[in-house]
Amino acid sequence: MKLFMVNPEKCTGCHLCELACSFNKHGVFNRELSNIRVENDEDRALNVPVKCMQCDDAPCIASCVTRALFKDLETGAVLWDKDRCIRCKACVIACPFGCVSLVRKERSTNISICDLCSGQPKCIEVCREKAIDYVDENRINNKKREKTFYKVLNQKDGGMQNG
Amino acid sequence: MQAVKPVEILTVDLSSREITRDKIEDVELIKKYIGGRGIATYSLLSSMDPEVDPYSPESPIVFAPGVLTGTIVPCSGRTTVLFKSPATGRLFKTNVGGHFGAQLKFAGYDILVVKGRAEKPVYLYIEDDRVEIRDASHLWGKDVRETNRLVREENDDPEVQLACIGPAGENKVVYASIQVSIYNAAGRGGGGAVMGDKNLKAVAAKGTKGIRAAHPEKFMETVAGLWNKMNEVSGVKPLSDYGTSIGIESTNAIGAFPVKNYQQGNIDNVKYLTGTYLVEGGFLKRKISCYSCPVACHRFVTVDEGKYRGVYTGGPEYETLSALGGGCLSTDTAGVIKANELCNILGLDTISTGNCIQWLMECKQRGVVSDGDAGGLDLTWGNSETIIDLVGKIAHRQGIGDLLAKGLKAASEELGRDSYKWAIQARGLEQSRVETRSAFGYALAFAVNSRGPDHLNTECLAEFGGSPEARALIKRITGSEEYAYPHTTEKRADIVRWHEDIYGASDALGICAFPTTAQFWMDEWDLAGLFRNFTGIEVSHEDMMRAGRRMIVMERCFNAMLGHTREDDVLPYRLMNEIQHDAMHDNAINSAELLDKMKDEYYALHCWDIEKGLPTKETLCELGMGDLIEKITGYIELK
Repeated sequence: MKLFMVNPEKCTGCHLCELACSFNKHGVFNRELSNIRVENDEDRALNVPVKCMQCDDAPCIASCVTRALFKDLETGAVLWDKDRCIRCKACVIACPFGCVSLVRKERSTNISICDLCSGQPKCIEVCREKAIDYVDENRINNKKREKTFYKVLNQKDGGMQNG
Repeated sequence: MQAVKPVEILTVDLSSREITRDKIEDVELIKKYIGGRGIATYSLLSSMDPEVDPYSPESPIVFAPGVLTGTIVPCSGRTTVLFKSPATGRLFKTNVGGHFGAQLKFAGYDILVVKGRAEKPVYLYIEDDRVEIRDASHLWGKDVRETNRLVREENDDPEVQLACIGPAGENKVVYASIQVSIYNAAGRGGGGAVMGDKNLKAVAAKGTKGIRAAHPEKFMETVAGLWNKMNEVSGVKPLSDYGTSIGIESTNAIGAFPVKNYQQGNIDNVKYLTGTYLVEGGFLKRKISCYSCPVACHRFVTVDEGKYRGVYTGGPEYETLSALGGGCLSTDTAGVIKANELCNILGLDTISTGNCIQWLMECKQRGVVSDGDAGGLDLTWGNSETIIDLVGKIAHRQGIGDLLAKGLKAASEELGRDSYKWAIQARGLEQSRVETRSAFGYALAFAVNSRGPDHLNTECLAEFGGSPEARALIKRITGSEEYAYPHTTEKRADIVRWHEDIYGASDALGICAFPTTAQFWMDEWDLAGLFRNFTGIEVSHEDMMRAGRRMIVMERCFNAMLGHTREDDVLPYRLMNEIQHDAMHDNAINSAELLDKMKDEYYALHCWDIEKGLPTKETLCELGMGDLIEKITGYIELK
């Protein structure tokens, strides 16, 4: 399985991920409709992408009395069944990250949660800095281990190599 | 007639507190002027009396995000700000990044016009259809950082975006900036002073409406094509890694880095002023993007040790490292960062601020001003503390700061005694940090620029031929790569005009000048494709360039109505009269003779009246601007 990784230190606050998401889901550029949101403190230039964490024990699913929310076994994303849903909004309250949102569409209210675009998230395609990335869970530590390896090598061989 | 998304104009009169909404739906007009800067300039030229005082309620200030601002187009987050400048007395276009323009678009507005003057300090709050003029007495006197914090707090909304002024704007320093998203500045020309005169502390915008493209799929295809080009060109990675100051070391090496108020072309220990050093010295903490920008050339730096420990700010950019660093003969990185922070939060243009400080230091060097005249400040070249003190004194108009706050033109006239000879200004604007004696395309561009001598109406970096893309562009414009050489007057007119055209088109679309005129991954075909697929209006690449040209022509006409002619197309005294001996080539000077030759060619290329350097009635008709002739000839004669 792949994991959606977020590295706020790399985020520059361009908000392109939000636009990619809202366009993909709704055909419009509107961050209010995006399932990923970049929260920021402009003064300190801090940007933090926030989205559904695909929790294993998802509070949103637990809160749903009609079983309208369920896990996509292939991607781990939480999916929404609009026919089962009674729009009680318990899931919105249950999510500790604020990543279950309401989207008003014409006369209906929809629940919106990141569905990982069925395994091909559109948002990561526009993140040049790789502040968000979608990686194989077996490989998430490869880069860090490699970095540690070269650090040790550099110390031993006096900077002959660089990682 | 074809149905298109209208251009939505919001007008707020601070005197009468009247708020009006208009639409432009005329497809031909939109095709001619694109939107943003183009339509804003057109509406000012056709409706405004050019002779009004910049500090009068009748003199408006216009905020015009680009057509594509708020969309996913890379680097499309920019906003044009237009006003009559208190520094130059002319029409002034500034352009700023940050996130304000996108929010204004999401609120549903393409152009915001603010007129009149509020009785007491106010700020404008815009949230979708809600537009309110609110009391800002509690914000008056506050710096930019604090103003942003307070407005966000009182609206309980961290996402509201501000274009605001600091104390410098309130005190009408003629080069007070409008600070957007705290660290981005519509810096040049004194827009901040115009806001200050209107008692307008800030415009706060927040929008929740979406933006739709006319042909979504084709639009996304065009965008994908641009991503591919962006990833291929050589210039994007260095700009992203090291910021705009990436080029300082090489500029210094060829003796074209303006040092010691343009007395020298290079400085020792230049490395402390480079983007590389910001990284290696541990100052750079994060990169900052403007809205929808994947490149992130803006910096966020902190100082972690020494006497400026705890200082943090956006920047410093190339211009700032030059203006507040090398130009003042300083290579004190932390000192420049501190001065930059003050300019940002007090609301000052770093370029003009630096140039004024350099002028004062040279006044001391030449015995025209003493340390005593400056209230005991040590005006020796390179003194960081003095530079930092002066920034504060300018913003608050204290002591000698009051003289500098008037800008170099007025200050040198007031001080007299030959000090105009080292006042690096023309037409009231301090020259931006380009050694035009080593770059003749820049020299021409700066001389004919409606703003004054600076790089933000025409950035013709390509003339240096510094990258394969730059050389290819010069070949495309002139027919030969040979002309990618800045120490010649040959073909400079062609190069400048091409850059002016595309700069206008980029501004109107809200696209940053870097992709079009510095890293060269967006060309006129791309711009036309984006506009076509976004608006559904059929345009060619030539239409885009002609639209850009109309902006240049309109600005020139506006200023001509105030008496501007070819005699005013000049550069600062020093650059026209003193040779830069550090340059790589002989006779590095922008003499009147040299400028005249290039100006003749430039006016001729435009089919203007060469004698006066003004468009003719025929030029205007040929560009489809015949409707403006009556207004213009009410003020001046056109050939």
